[in-house]
Amino acid sequence: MRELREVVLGRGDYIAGGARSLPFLDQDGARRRRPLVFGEVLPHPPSDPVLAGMFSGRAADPVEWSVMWKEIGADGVCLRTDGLAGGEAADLVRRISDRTGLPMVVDGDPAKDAGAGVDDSVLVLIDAEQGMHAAAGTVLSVSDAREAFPDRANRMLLVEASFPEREGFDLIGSIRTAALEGDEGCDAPIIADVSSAYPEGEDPRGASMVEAEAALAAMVCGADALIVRGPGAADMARVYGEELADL
Amino acid sequence: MRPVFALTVSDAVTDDMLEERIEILAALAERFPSMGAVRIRDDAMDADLLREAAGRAYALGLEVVLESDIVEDLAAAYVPGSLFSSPASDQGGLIRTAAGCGAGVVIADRDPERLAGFASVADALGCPKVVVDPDVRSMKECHESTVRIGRIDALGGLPLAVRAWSGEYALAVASVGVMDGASMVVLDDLDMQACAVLDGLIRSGIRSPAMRRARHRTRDDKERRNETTVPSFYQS
Repeated sequence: MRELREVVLGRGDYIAGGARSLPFLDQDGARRRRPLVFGEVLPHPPSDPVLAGMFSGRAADPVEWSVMWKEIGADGVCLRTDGLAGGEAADLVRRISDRTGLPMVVDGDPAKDAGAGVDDSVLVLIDAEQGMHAAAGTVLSVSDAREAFPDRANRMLLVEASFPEREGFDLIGSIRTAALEGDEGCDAPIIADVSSAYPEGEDPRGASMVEAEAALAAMVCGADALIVRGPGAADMARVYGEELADL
Repeated sequence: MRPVFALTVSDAVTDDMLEERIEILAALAERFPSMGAVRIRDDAMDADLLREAAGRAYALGLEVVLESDIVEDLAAAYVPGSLFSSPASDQGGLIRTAAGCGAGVVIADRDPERLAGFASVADALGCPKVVVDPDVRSMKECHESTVRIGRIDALGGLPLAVRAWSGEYALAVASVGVMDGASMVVLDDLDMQACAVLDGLIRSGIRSPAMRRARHRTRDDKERRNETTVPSFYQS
């Protein structure tokens, strides 16, 4: 049985990838592992008051926002650092990592510099400096952000999946299928960013349902990790993932 | 063919409530193109009430699924183009009744091999439409069963129905069913927001790789390779 590559995240306590089958199919010997759920955090409060309200006012401070993600059961934090100077971003990444102890996805330009202050946790860096890779959404994870970006062994693949457009979801499925058929170039864990599915201006329930639907679709198509915007979707994604993985 | 979803009308309601429910479903169907069917459930176990409800639902112009534990009630309530469903009854009797009325049939069984056997009987008896229903109880079961059915030659080409309940979990079950190849998902009820989400999923065409693989199993490898494309920048 072919087993796809794993990437160890955080302080070694989270693992993404390692699929043995198309998603969640026990009949094919699926690995019982649910996708990791990363909650999005911005350096500033969200512009959507409904979204801000879901975090009970704690989104005013990105560190408190991240702590709240931990309290509600997210597996990690995805910090968008665009707009921050390199030193500010690095300081914020370090403070969130120290306070939460969670694995982090750092999305920014350059993410490598933003992760430079953390040397005791595996970060996932989305870096626009990676040219074509970044434009297409390749994620690189490194065990020490002060090193150069690593070889393929630590790579994850980022796919932006904008529900209800199907392209991103098709791509996730195609990558997973190709990897299981032996394409070693595709055997990295897939991280699906479904945060753009969050519909601004909707009431909390409606917004959560739409984003949770995108998360569910990404999981069923083969995502090993998810980036979500709303806590409702994160909660539903975790519960659905646990059921599908039979945990 | 694009999947459809169906919501349910119970016949165990007053005339005014039935009218109101039909009006709600008409409004939902107008707003959401994927709502292509309606299920009439014989909760009252009364053939006359089922017939009355079926007649009003038929006027919506949607596909009608008649569901009852009493197959004779289904025959009494037949409307043109309807599908008979009786998950708790003997499926052989259901198939004979449907064939006798010229109705289609939704065959429910948790065992894929029995489903295949019933499907071939329904086909031999001339049922105009044969739909298979794996009778799932959870999202996990839905995923495993629909994929398994898609891989069975005798069932892979038949329309597949998934029944779910109401609320957010039912939406998730129905969504997994759609992504795994169900051509019809039948729910007790969904509110407007949930209908919008399900309609969006159905119209998006998002389907699971497991479903695509099962469907492509009989095609030649070359065609399949051409349909599974990963941009080269992901592979470098």
